[in-house]
Amino acid sequence: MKFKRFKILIRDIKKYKALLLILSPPVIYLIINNYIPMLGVIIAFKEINYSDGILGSPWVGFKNFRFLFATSDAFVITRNTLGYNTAFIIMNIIVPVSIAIALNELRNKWLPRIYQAVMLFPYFISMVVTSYLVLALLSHNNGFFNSALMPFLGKDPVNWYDAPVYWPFFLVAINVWKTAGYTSIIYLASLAGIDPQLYEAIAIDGGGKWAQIRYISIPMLRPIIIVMTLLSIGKIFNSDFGLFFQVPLQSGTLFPVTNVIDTYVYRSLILTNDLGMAAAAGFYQAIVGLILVLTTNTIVKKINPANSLF
Amino acid sequence: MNKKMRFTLTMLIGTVLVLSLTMCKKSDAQAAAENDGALKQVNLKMIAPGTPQVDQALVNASISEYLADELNVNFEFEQIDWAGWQDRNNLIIASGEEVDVLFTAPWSGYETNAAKGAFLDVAEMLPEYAPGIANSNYNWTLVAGKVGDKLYGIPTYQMMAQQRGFLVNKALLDKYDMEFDESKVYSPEDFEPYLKVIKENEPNIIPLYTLHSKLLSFTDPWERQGPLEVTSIDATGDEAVYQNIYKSDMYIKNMKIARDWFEKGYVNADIATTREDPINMLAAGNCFAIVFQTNPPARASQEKMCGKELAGFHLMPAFMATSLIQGAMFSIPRTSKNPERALMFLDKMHTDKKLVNMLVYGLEDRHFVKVSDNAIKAAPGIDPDKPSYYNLQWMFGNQALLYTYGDEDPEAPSLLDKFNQDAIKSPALGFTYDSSAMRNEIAALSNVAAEFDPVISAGVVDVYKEGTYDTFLAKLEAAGIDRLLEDQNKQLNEWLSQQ
Amino acid sequence: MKKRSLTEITIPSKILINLIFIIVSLICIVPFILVISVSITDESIIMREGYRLIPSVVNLSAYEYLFTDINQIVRSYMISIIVTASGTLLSLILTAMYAYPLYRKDFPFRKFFAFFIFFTMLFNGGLVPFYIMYTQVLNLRNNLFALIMPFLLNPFFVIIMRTYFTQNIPDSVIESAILDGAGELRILTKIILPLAMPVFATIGLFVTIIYWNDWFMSLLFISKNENISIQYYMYKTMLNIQFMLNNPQAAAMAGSIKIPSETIRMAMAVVGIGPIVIAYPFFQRYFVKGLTVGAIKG
Repeated sequence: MKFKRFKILIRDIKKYKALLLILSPPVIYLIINNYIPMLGVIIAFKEINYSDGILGSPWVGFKNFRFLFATSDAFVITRNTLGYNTAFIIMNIIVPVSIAIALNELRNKWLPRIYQAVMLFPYFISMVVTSYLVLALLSHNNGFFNSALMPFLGKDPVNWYDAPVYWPFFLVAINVWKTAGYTSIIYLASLAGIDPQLYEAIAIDGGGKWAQIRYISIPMLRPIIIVMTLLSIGKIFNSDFGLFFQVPLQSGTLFPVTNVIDTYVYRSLILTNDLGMAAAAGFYQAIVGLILVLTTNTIVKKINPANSLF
Repeated sequence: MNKKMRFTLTMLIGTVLVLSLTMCKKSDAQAAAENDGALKQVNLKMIAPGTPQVDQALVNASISEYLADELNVNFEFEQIDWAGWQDRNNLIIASGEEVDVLFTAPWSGYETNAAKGAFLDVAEMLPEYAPGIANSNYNWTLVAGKVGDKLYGIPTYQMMAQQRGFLVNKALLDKYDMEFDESKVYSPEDFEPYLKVIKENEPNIIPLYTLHSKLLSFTDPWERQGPLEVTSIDATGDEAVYQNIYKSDMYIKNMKIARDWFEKGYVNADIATTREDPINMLAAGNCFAIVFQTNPPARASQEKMCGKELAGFHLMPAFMATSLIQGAMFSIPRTSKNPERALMFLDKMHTDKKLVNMLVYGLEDRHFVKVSDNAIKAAPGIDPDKPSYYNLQWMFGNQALLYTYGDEDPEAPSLLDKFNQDAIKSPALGFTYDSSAMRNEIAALSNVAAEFDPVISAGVVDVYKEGTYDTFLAKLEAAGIDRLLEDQNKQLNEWLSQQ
Repeated sequence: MKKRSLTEITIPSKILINLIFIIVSLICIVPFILVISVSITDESIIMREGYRLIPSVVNLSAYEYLFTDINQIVRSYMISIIVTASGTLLSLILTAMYAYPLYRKDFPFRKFFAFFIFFTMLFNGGLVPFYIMYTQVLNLRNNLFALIMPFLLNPFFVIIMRTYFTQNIPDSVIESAILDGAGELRILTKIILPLAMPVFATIGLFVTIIYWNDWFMSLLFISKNENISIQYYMYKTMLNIQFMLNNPQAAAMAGSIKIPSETIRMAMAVVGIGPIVIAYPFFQRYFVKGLTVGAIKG
């Protein structure tokens, strides 16, 4: 039995040696660039001291992981990380897909191109600069909201950086603003590859625009949407550090809604700069991501094997 | 790939092993070589934070040449931009990069790196290879570079004392015929009348401009010992004991003042969010006072930076604490292949006037010209605002050896000396806390402090009414502040008993 | 005048969609214009009034300040352009080489290799082993390749490319090519590449942005000023500010280091973004090309 499988393996390798050959440069790259350094995960289970070196330092089991769960913050940061990422995943499907479909319908030669280029702009503005721009909107004294918008609405000025209730909306909005134009390009590329005859076929059958979108555009986009979602799920315990650290200006009052795992870990280790604890946090995030992706991937596979990641 | 990694790591360990062996051997070899009167040429790499200088390579070559007879090193000094310093410094240490002389300070992770064995103990080598340092008139500062009886860092002699308070725009004082005695020490509430005058008469000027971070702890003489500033020692007090800063009488009193001032509009309304550097605001004339160091010897450079006359309203006497001495140190990392030579170089940096001045100001005639024996100015063709070589004065060896540059006060070095000598010494001067047993507590406390300190100290909200203050104290306790205090005081008492 | 085709939307919906996009575009472009205006506003005005879309007093001193070292700026732009261009090209080649076998449904190892690359997206050994690899094993300190190598293969892009191939290139195309006796490399370059132009353009654009925006690799590996990218050259001042604000002790020590004004910070952002904004139209051409080719062959 075993021998037979081995024989099949040899046969497959022989048969597909051209493909394997094509694969080999990127695979070698991954080994050098990713897999060898990946052995550094052992740091998560060690208490590093430089006199013994990385390998010689004593093993400490899960001691480095303790700080992640030690305080009541553990619940808050896990909730925030999961909550925001879920919101981002959903918004990053709805908004960019809508943008892509709408742009695709504008057959005008120039306008869609201009819209698309312009919508990519926020992506180039670094989070630090974004935080200045947000401050220009929300600043207590001369921010746009307090000096123009709130009086216009007939409301009193708000101390935005001390008002946690608004921030989930702000953060989601900033995330969408920054990434929607970028992500929509992926969907637009997929739509660009669709054969126009498919739409015509529906139209000839009397299907309107909505039917064309529903029966052609969406199904054609579904695989890429699923893949993008799966990839995001893998990173669900990680977050855009700049968004949660820079943009709220580290305002303490906002912590209950802005503190995520990455910012918590950063603040925990900024003083001690403990390699072991940093590695432990990364390992924890990766393991959770891996478990979630494997689970979702299995479900996707059950429904439609063609859409699964692997 | 396992093999490859193992190979890499074995190589690394091997290097370390070989290194430690050669180190022992070298001492003998070197002693022998010295008997012959000639040293083998070696590379000497020094790394410190700072803006990389255009003419660094040129200066490096000149220093190698200058030291050829005595040290015979191929000297290479690399400055790492402030932006990258934290990352690079950590990586240099963690990856075991080969460096001979490395800058360190409490704000560069000195304490944790020393505790984890990143630096060589040079206590025993010091008398032989660095007699100049060992016998200097400031050799008592070496105590700050020690952990137990091991010597990990050589402090640079610079402004090791500090005085803090309000730095004030003098023109506005004069305008309203106000004055205070700069030789005295005041309480924060004594400053209120001045703020009031400005508030009432100068609608376009913010009386006191400050960042929330450390507004309050900065106005008190905390020792700032250890990596976290929730517990500390009163450096001007008589008793060496760690206490919870936020429960101290000083802090509670200041917290009320901060709230009061905020409500009266004496403090910038955007205190919680601003990231404008207060000194910029003072320079631009947008505010009357800022919370800052008020050290008299620093006044001249502060005035130059702001472009106006300033006055210092002291809130504490000048004091000296371990962390302030540690503010600039050089260590020899354990990866150095030539620790003896590195130490000899450090010794030169503390005793050789020409070398220190080369490191800071560059080369005579090219970068500077002498005005008198101890005073220099920019060389012709060098733009004093964008010199091709000009480094930080407080960083290298012994600041007292520096020439005065440009319009600097010729008395500056003696002023600095006097300031250091007259300063009150912290009762825990020389003690360095090893936090390695408290990693989890520090992680949790850092987060609690980051969340509440700005709220508590900015005075933006009434922390009593809203219960924030009590929540804060409770969270500190939950995060293990008592365990930290216990550990700190235990170590401190052990240290005290050995003195 | 061309007659409206069956699949085209009505004029009112067109107007509505355009209207929405105009608003969205404004939301995206106004902040960018704001950054530019702040960078040319007089500093003291900003301290008093905050940001204004139209500067009341125009002052170009921020740019004068930045451009005093014009040689360094030109050099850093050159470094960025070289790194971005060669990095993007290499990266596209490697990505296609990985994505193509994964797309082949008959390739028996595709699941293994899909997982092999996906795994690298989740797990990494942290900065220290990576740094040791680059500086001590590969010896890339102060080498421009250290700026290129880290971003050559991104699992995310490989998987997107594979998905695109699967969606848009029918198996029959490959099968007939194999029957014709075409080699794999030939199929990849002569059949897949032209058919998949939109995805190549998309990923090319994304990789370009990654290379252009990167400053961290310069921070880690380049110690000589002449070899740093424009993004790091501009960004490091921002980082200096960050460092000083987070380390009051260090700031107290550094003392004489002056934090640049807000106008200079914004001017640096503008210079840092630089020519990348014109990269998009360059890649955009290929979206359309891909469409027509796809229509013929599909």
